[in-house]
Amino acid sequence: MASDLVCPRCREPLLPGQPDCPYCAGRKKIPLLHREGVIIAAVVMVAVALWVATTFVTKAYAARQQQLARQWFERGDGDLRAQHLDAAIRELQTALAYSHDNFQYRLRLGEALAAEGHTRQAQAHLQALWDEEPGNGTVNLELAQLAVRNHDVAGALRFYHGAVYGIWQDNPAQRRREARLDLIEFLLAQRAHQQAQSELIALAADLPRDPALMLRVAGLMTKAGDHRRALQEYREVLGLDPNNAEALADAGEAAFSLQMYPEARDYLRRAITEHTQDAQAEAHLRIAELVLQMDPYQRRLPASERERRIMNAFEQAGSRLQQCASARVITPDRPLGNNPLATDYANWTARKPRVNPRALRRNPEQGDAAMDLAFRIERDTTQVCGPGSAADLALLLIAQRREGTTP
Amino acid sequence: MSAPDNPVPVVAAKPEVAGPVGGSNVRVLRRAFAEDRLFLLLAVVIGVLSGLSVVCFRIAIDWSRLYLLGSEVPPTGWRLLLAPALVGLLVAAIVMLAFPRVRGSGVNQTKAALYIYNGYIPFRTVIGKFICSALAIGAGHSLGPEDPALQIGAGIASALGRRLHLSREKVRLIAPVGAAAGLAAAFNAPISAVLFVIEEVIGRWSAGVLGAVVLSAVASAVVERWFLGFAPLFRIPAFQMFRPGELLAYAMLGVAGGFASVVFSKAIAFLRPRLKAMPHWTQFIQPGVAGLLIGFIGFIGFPQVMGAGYEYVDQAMHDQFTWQFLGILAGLKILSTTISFVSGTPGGMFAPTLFIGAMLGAAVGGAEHVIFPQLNGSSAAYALVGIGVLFAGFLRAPMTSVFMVLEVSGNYSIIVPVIIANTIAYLISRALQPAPIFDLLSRQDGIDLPSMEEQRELSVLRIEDAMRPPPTVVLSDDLTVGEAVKRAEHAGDELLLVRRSPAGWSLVRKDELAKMARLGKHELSLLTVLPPARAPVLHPDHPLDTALHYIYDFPLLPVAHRADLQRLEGLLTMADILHAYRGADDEPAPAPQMP
Repeated sequence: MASDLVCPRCREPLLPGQPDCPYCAGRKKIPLLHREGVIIAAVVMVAVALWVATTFVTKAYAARQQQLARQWFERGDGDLRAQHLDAAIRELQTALAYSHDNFQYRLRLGEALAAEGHTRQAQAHLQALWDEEPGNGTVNLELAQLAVRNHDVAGALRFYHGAVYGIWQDNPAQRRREARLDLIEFLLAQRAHQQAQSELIALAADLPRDPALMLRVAGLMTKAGDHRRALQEYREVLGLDPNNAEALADAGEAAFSLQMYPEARDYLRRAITEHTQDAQAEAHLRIAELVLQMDPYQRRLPASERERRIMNAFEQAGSRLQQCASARVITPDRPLGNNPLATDYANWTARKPRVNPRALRRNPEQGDAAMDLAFRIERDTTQVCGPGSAADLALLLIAQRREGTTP
Repeated sequence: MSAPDNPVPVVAAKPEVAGPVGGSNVRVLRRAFAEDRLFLLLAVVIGVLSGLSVVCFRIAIDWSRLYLLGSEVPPTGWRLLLAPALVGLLVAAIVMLAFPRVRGSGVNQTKAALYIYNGYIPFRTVIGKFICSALAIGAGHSLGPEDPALQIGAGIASALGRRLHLSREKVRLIAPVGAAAGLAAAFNAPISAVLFVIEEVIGRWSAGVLGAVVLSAVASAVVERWFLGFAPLFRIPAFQMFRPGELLAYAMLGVAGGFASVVFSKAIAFLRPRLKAMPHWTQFIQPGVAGLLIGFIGFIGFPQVMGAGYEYVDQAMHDQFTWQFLGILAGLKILSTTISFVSGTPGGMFAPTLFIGAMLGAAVGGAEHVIFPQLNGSSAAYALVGIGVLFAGFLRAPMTSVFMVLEVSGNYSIIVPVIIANTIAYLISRALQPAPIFDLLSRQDGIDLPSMEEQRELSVLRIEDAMRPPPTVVLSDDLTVGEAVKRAEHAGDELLLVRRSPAGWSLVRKDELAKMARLGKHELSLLTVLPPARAPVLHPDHPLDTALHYIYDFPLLPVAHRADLQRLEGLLTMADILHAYRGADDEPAPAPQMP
């Protein structure tokens, strides 16, 4: 391809099809540029001019990019709030195309993707943000929620703790509390009651005096099986708002669960007064009252009352046994193998003559034996025939309290 | 490519460099040194100017995209169909009527400047490339800004070199220096730019050129970062170290990338000459038709294939697409880039190569995750390796491909999968498509540029391939002339080797010995009668070319052991050298004769 012709002036080869030498062309037009110093000076001047021009262009372009990014972000943010998720994702992606590293844009896009159900994409975005700011509370909370969605227990715990102890830009105490509440609900869903109780203790330690929030925490404590702390929390709520029907009912339930029946009765009565349509409260109130009426082991009970309660309990158990046995076609004449009801019936029949005021007064141990039999009958009949009447349930609760077992 | 070490300079084989340094030589040397310094200074200036130009070029592409396709990413609506087609027609008209040299690969035009046109790249081409590429890429043609940036840098460098009246050698080399600057600014990756220019354009490592190339690339990258920030091409999410078992998965990616590279190369090789052979007037509409087709691909739901597509590579690395969609994008990008490129639309293939590689890598990674859920490599890791794979397989720059991935990712832990996958892709591509894409393009254009890959693969003949065994009679300089004459009687050759003490070898003819004997020098040792000049000593591993520098003055060259210069390994004559170059090994070369 190289030409054989050479420039007569500079002896450089001429390019094919070009009669003028490219090296000499410049010389002819601008003789001054022969001098290398002048050329270098000119080059430097051109470079400076180009630098200034490039500065101007890049600044103008950067401003335009920022403007576009802001516009698209505002649109995307609006659509995200309006739950127009598809549009929000597109707009936030566009905003990011103009402002790659904007943390807020990326976070909102991650949230939009998560809300739309694009879990993998959301996770990738949020994980990248987490890599940059592992202590960011919002990112940790979003990642925790995605981990919950993915049934990733370990990941969820890690990110929830990251959120609880992370950095929050606005209202950090409230955001941390909400993150911890989310974590507790996740733990309860996982049946990790012990861990949930620990978190609840930490949460309750610096809980603001807000009845609604305290009620929520107390409810979670109840779910976690920590009735004692729950009752304490309800008491505090009632200290702030004595007529809070929800607190009264829940406090009654907590007291009921703790076998604190007098307290349960009082709370439940007040709850029903405040909010009469609470069926569960009414039922528990009825049972609590029965327990208090039927329990022969209450302190400072006169002997005659105690004997009466024993005899009532014994009769109640016998009647329950007969009902259950007749439903299952079991009589003393037709015992059904080694069915416990048959044994119970035999025992009850044998003991019945000894359960009278005189015998009980003469030998108090007869009372205990009668009550033990009554408790056993209630348990067996519940097992065979299902739950009985409120009185039967009350007897079972008395048995549990007597034997120290939890309900 | 490393230059061989010089033979032991026992004798000054080239008297012209051994002579006293005269006044004119001082001037020459001073001028040479001055030019070398000027060349290095110029490299920095070229880097700055190229960096500034490339910054403006990239902004021009973005502005044109904003105006032509709108600000939404990815673009939507009827603009997708209209903009690439109409701009294709406009660009074709500009190219055909005003800037005909703008068509084609910037890499090849820079190589042509180096090897054919004495470093000449018209500045007009720079302007044309800037305008046409910015319009075409901005309108959505599936091409990238790197190749035009490379040519813009080379063009600026060429113009400067010519204006400053550098020597022809320097003007030739200055275009690649500018090319490195342009590429460094476009990729924001100076090391890769230097390697690519060395590997693909210059083809050899030499300190002088390397220094200038590095300076210009670094200066350019600094300018680019000054204006556009330090952000790399893609945001690379952190990824975990791979497990050794996962190397097999990356090897599979190498296989897929190798075949994809071959498909891409063959599609261009097949379509480009056919489109060029069409009537001349069709070249006015080919970019328009290409734009329409690409616009249609975008319009039916794949706008990601339009333009350079770096933002989508970024999204692929952040797991924003399913593996099936990634696979489709890789395939459609091959199609759209082929259409754009063969239509003669100005623009480069670097960005599409990265796009295809990233999409293919992430798709293969995603598919492997579905099949083997125990694999834990992230999409980003697969996409990065995919980029390297296509770079190695399609552009056939294996070294650059590895360093580019490292430079872009900033993560050294990925090097093993990159090397494995790249090597596999490179080998598959070489086996199925012998000519690399740049060589293919230059041959289609009727230019026979040196193929760097062929040069790398060229087997070099060495002294050991040509030398003959050592002679039975070797004299030493402690012998007397009488003894030497007696021994020479048993030698078959006319020329004899004399082992000199403490080191070195000399040549002496039989008749010279006989003449000395006739002159009554029987009792004198050879040490006293022989001239002090010594023959150059070669070693078996020297390239055979080395012998050609000495063979005219020394018809018989001793080949000595490297660890013991007195130990003769063989002899070399002109006949042996020619014999080796002819490749005739069936008959021995004739005995050496005196000149």
